[in-house]
Amino acid sequence: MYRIFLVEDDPLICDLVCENLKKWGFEVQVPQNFEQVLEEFIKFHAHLVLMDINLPSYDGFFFAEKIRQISNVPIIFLSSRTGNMDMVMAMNMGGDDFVTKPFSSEILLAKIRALIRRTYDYANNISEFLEHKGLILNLSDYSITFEGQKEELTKNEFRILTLLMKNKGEILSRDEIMRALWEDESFVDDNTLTVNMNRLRKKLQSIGLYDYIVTKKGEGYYMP
Amino acid sequence: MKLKPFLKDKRHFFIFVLLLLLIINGLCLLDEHFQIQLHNLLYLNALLLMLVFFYLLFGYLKRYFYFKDLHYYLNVQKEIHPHALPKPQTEEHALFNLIFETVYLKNLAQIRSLEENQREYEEFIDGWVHAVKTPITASYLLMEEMKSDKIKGPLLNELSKIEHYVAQALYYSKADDFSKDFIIQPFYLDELLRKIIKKESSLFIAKHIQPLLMVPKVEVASDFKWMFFIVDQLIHNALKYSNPNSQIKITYQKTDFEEYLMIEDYGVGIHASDLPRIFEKGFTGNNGRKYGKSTGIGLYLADKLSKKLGQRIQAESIPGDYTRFTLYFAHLSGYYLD
Repeated sequence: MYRIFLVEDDPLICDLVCENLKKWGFEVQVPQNFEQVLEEFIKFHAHLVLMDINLPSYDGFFFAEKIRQISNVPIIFLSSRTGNMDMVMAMNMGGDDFVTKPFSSEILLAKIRALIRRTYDYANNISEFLEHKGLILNLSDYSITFEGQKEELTKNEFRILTLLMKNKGEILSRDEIMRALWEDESFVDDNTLTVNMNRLRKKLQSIGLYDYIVTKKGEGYYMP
Repeated sequence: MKLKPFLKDKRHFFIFVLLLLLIINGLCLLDEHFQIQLHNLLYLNALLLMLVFFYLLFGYLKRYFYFKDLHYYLNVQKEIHPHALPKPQTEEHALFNLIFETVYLKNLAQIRSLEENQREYEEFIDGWVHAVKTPITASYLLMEEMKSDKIKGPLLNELSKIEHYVAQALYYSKADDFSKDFIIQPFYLDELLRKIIKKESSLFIAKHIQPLLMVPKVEVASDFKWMFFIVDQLIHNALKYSNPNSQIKITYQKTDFEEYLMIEDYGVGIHASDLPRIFEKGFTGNNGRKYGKSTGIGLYLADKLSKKLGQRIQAESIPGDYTRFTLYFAHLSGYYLD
């Protein structure tokens, strides 16, 4: 299990990010005392650090620099500062990536996964699969497997299925699905979404899954 | 100093001399017992006039050099500072110099305090913008937990508008000392546009507007962050005024002479009478009044910042049909390309 050290002073954001990361199988720790970020970092042996820049005592740049003196751990800055100088500063202080606030947990997660993949031996431990009622979705090669039968998905189909599986049992509106696709820079319109949805259903049927995705008229789709 | 104004200044002295001569000559000529020969009287008059002439000449020369210094001070010297004033020649001059210095120092203190206020205000806005982004981030993250899209969708739109206005506040306060924070470097234009569309996605989707992004993978040289703001203003504007279920067409063109980006929406359009004024600060026009919630700041800022980047924005429109904004890039290397 990969350990993430989250240095963020806003308690609500901290909680929400923590929960999300835990859902995806990361172990998360937050410093108890913002004076002793470095000490807690050392104790925790983190694989990755998420570092806010505006902190109560010293700022995130300060701690990043301290961490860099003793470790090569990947650091992602989280900040509402968007100035060019801040970005340059972040990179100079040893940051590997920069996520500007406001961010969605999707983006944050994608960046974390990418960075962990680059830094550590990939194959193990990040949860690379989603499973629901026997259907296994492989997150790294966009394939689905059901009772030994395998099918490849396109990027859009994969995105839709991931979203539905992550929110199983809940109705997702078409707008919501579209927003998720747009987040991946696939700016689909209504018709394209319908086409993608139909193709996805056909692929599910071809490996023996009928009515795996249910349409709720006027509301959206859900996975029972 | 010219002779004429000098003589004019001395008019009372002339009258005084004239009066003296009149009294002397009158006394000599009218009193029968006063014995003086005529040529002696004429000599006396000539002598007196000579003395007056030399007195004036000396006075004029003295003033001439003083005025020359004053003119130099006023017209040639760049910095007007009381200590650089020519040496006073009379008590009056000294007093005027003192008054000038007093006024100068008072104004200086006032300007300093205003500048200080301005700087503090900018710092406040800067801090405020960053502070408000924390609750906005938290709201976005919270909303991800929401189940019903009936509330979530519209709420996302509103939040995205808040974000938009917050960005305006930040860039408005920064627009004047823009030079402190910009880096011109090449970036891919299509990448910038994709990021902006992504940012505005909830508005696009809510209004069922499709972006037609027809921009090739092309590099332009500008500041990414400021360009992001400028183009976002244009796209946000297009989204606001275009018809639901329509499109926003984004195209890029390059000719031998210029390079430009066009953003075209199909909606209410802009009245011909409003068109020349849309980049004015605070101008809301017909659309702003009709559709409400127009601050008249977005386009003003986009235009102002574009100019600072050496770019310009042009707008054309047919009311009820389309609006097209064209952003011309600064053409740096055109001459060397074939």
